[in-house]
Amino acid sequence: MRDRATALGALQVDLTRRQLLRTGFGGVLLLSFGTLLPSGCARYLPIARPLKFLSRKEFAVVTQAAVRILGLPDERGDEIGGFIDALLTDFPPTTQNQARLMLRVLEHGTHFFDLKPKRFTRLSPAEQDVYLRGWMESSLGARRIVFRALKTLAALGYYAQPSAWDTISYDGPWIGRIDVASEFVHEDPVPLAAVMARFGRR
Amino acid sequence: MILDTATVDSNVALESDVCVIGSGAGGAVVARELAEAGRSVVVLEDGSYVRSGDFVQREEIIYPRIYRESGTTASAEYAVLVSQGRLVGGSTVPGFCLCVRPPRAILAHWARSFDLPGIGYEGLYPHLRKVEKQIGVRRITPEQVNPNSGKLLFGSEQLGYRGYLPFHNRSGCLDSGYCALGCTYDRKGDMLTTYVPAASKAGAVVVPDCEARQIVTQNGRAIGVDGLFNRSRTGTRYPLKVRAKVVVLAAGAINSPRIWRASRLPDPADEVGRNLRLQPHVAVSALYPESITAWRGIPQGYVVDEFLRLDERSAGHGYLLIPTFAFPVAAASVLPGYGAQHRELMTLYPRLGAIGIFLHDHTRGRLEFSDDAPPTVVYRLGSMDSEQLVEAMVHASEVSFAAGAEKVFLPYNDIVTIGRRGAYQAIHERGIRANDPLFISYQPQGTLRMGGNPRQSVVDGAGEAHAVRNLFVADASVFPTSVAVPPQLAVMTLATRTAQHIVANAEQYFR
Repeated sequence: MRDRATALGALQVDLTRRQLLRTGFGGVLLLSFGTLLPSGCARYLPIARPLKFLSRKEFAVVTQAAVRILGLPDERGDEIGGFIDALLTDFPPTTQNQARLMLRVLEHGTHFFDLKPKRFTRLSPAEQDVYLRGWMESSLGARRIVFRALKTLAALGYYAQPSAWDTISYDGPWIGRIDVASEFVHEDPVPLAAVMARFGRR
Repeated sequence: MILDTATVDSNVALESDVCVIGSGAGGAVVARELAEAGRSVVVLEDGSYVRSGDFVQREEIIYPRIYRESGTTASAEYAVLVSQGRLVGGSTVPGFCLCVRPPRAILAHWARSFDLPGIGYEGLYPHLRKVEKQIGVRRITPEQVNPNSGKLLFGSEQLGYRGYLPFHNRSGCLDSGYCALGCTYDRKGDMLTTYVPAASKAGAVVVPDCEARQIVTQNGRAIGVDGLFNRSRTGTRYPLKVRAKVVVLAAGAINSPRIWRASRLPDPADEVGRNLRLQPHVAVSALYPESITAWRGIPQGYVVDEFLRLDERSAGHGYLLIPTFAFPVAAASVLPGYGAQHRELMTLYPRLGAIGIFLHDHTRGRLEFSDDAPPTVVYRLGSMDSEQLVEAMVHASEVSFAAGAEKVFLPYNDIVTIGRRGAYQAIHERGIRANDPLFISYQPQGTLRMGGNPRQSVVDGAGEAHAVRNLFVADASVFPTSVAVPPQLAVMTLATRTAQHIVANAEQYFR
């Protein structure tokens, strides 16, 4: 109980701190007390695909959370996780750090919020649903925030992929299938020397 | 000309008559007006020079490339997401092209309550007409109303609600629907295809990928801007120094006050970063019996202004109902629900429509500043605005049912459905709480507000800072209250006025 109370206290305090509630892509944010949580990967299964950004632990958390939140079959998890891993590689460092912390908090929040002895990735699918719904419906704003961010990350991992579009009857971009060209001519940028010749300070 | 920042390989020092910070609806207008008046102009833009060929119609690629902070900036407590474009042309490039004139009552309120005699409708009209001509403003035709907009039109007409086909600045629109991801086909009259190239043609230089860090002053007068390149040939962030006789701050209502504070400019009235209005937006979704593929066509083809009640004394209150929709990633993020329910909702994607509520807010937020990070947006919706939003959700639901909706989905985290017309108790019971529903703001305003009294405002009616000579502000920061409608035309009109004031008083500013 004391751990839970401490964590909730930290959460409340952090809510008032200015640096905490920043987002990157569509709301990827986190709770700073996640920095206190373990980050090792020793108990996570090896992954067949090479990861560019996520650790094995983070990959496990994000794939399991994504399939539960979006109501997808478990086998879609690897594909979603791989897509998120590739996308996060190109994101700004602040967003990357937020994503890491958020996933860490989610993995270990079971102990604090639901008093469960198991981490998120060790819960049964039914238990995971209860746990994630707890974040979605929480009376604590910060937990709803994390759920929003996680849902955005999951949506990005699945619905950005053309393989998902058929399932929702989205016909996809025009580019590559409808041949229309712009007639507007954008000017080409000029080298620094050209700017200096005109505006360079003497 | 537009600088290719991939060729920057050293510190850069430039000199010009005018340095403009920002290339969006305010900055691009000022740059063009002053360049065409014969002034040498340097424009600094934090974002990149992204041309239509780069608008690839894919959400996961476009959002990080052209929006600030990869998509959205959250307010403290995550109550509102603030979406701002970050590229040459600013938010006009991924914008929805709605061109609504600033309402007479709002301008009259500003003139009367903020001691701004030149801000009335008649005084601004010539500038407004000039802007409309430059960006090709025209009315959306009935043929251009897509099925989602058609639902709002039909439903509101059934109920007798006042509405209209709005004006927009597209030409030869192909109805691809990808406005929010930048127009691949250059059919928008955004800054990227109008004012920026015109400014360049008139001799201005646009410097993309360059963060303005500090406005430099001397003896109470702005004399230039120090910046830092985000990109270069070597990867080093080289410094840029621009010395100019006039500085125009047009980086938007979040970043302009940030730059002000970072520059340690005087703020005797303690007004910088205060008075923030967000015109928060939330969407009510509806399921129709037939496919309406709401992602295609002009996204916002009809406007209901029945509930916008404006008056000169208090600026009034209320909201607009405007069609809205999102591509799959954004839709999946904002549609309510969890697991199988959410999945089922997404499979209904082609039959979903949505009505956006744009609130004319009275809530006054503020920005909190720190030296090493973007400002934090602090904004808690006030009780009157909350009541307005509850009423608006009822009206949006009512219109949806009148247009034939089978069900309405409210914008909460979990699925709250209304199954029949009139059963709106759930809206009243649930009400509004922090980040549920989650609001989005595309139009922050008011953080460097204008006014005749230096003790209650930051800039005067011409946009010039009360406390710093030769420093002007030309973006939505200067609005004294919410402008009540999409602000593009208001920003451009006021920016034109500011530029013409500088031109008319050239002897004073350029000696």
